[in-house]
Amino acid sequence: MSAAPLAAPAPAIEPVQGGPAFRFGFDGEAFASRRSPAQRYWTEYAPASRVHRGFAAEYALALVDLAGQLGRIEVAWAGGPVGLAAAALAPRLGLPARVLSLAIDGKGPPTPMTGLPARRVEASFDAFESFALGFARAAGCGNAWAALSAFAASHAEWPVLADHGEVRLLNHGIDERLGIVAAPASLALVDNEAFTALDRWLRAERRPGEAQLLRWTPELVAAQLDSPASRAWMADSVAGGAAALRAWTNHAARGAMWRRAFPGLRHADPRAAWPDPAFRARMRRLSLRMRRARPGCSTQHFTPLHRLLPPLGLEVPPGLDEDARLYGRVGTTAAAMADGAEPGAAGGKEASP
Amino acid sequence: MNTGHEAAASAGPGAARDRLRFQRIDFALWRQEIAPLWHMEGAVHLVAPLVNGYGQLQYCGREIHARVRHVPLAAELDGVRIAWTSIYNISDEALRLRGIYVLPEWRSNGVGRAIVAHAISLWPAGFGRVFLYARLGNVGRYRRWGFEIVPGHVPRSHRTGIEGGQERIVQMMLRRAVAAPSGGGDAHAPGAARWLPP
Repeated sequence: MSAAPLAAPAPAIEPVQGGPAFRFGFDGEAFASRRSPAQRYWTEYAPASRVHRGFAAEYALALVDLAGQLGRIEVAWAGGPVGLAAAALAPRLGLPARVLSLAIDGKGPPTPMTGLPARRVEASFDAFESFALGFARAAGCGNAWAALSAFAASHAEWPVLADHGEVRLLNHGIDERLGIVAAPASLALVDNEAFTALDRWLRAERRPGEAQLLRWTPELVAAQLDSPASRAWMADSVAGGAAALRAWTNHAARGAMWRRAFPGLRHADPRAAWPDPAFRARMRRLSLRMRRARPGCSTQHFTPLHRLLPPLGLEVPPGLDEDARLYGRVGTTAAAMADGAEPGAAGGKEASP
Repeated sequence: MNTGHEAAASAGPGAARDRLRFQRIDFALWRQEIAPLWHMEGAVHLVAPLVNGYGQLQYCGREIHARVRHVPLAAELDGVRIAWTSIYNISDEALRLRGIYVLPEWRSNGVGRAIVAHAISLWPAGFGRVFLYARLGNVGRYRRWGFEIVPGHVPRSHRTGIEGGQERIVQMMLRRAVAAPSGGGDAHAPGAARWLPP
């Protein structure tokens, strides 16, 4: 995959107070690893301190801030938009950066041609598999694709920026298995425990780097939620009927957001960057082995959008607070969201009605 | 697990609900006991303490640990556990019942209704709505207890709910101010709200 020059202008750079806008943990410990199956996973987001400037600008500001904190960055590219946009923006912003791309048994997404110095690491699947099983133990996660990102990061010689992460939204009102609208729109931000496996691995390895660039500042989170594509997805979800059924999650909206923000880049799902069916079959088998070696990492944390938007300085669209009307309100403030008195959260597969 | 099916059944169903004793038990014990009844013996770890129920839970971040009070309960008859349920607050105004199980030989004796009434009675009246997800075969029973299907909600698939061969569930709601299930003993009347110690 190659990247054309960016169509979006480089934003003016100002100092930004970066991270941690996003925190995760288990019971009372922030940025921790799971120590027992009974521990409950949680995530939380800091409130915004200013109005966001749009996704492209906030992304660039976060990248500049991250590079300032890390000194220099090596983008461990996995074929996804986070790494691609970083690799394309870094030379325009004058950031000390380079790109690392990975090939397994000679196959993998081609190194993006963005003007940054780049190097390619070749490895065998056997070597990756051995690494992945260790990753499962260190990060408490049986997801081979997360391990692949970590494997790329493990070869970085500079502080690493992982090509990783997404702001995933979901409409609980849709029954995706039956293909029906089962309830009024109930929109939430989804945080799977697996999403932060790479963070836990970086910490376990004491490796400098970042795996959550898309959550680096509250304003960057706000910009993603407030993007035209996200707003359209919310409106469709609230409208119900066929409009809502078209999108159980905001997967398509995220792609539209990237294309609009960085129209010169050809973005892809990281998994689509590894299209070889045999490779994908081996990844599925490896995930099974990893889960057997280290069960868990399957819990989810949902943040109702009607509660997330106001602390980020965003309006709640009409019809999006029906959850609160039905399920009741929570007497809290933005500060309480950021500074809960006690840690802890729960989630998990619905084991019984 | 002290279920003692045969011994309990021999006690006779007569006024069973009047002799029930309700007990708050540790979640670890609760799920250990209920897992085999849900045919989840090999997956006890999947019985999570709280489930979100398609967006019910209004707390987020560490609020969930700090503000949700999760109450696993069991009902004993003559020293033998015969029913289980659990209840927790999904907001500052509403509750969720999660898991209602009565041993087969004690069903249709008011035991389930009694343990549910007791569970709800533990909460102040400010928690005015109680939600549950019902398998379709149980909707009629819960209607008799005062629950109604939530307007705008229709039966939906259930991710792991293969118990009893029913895969559709629907959300139901009880408005405490309007109606509440009548329980077993007077001590557990719905109006006798008592706040749980943290």
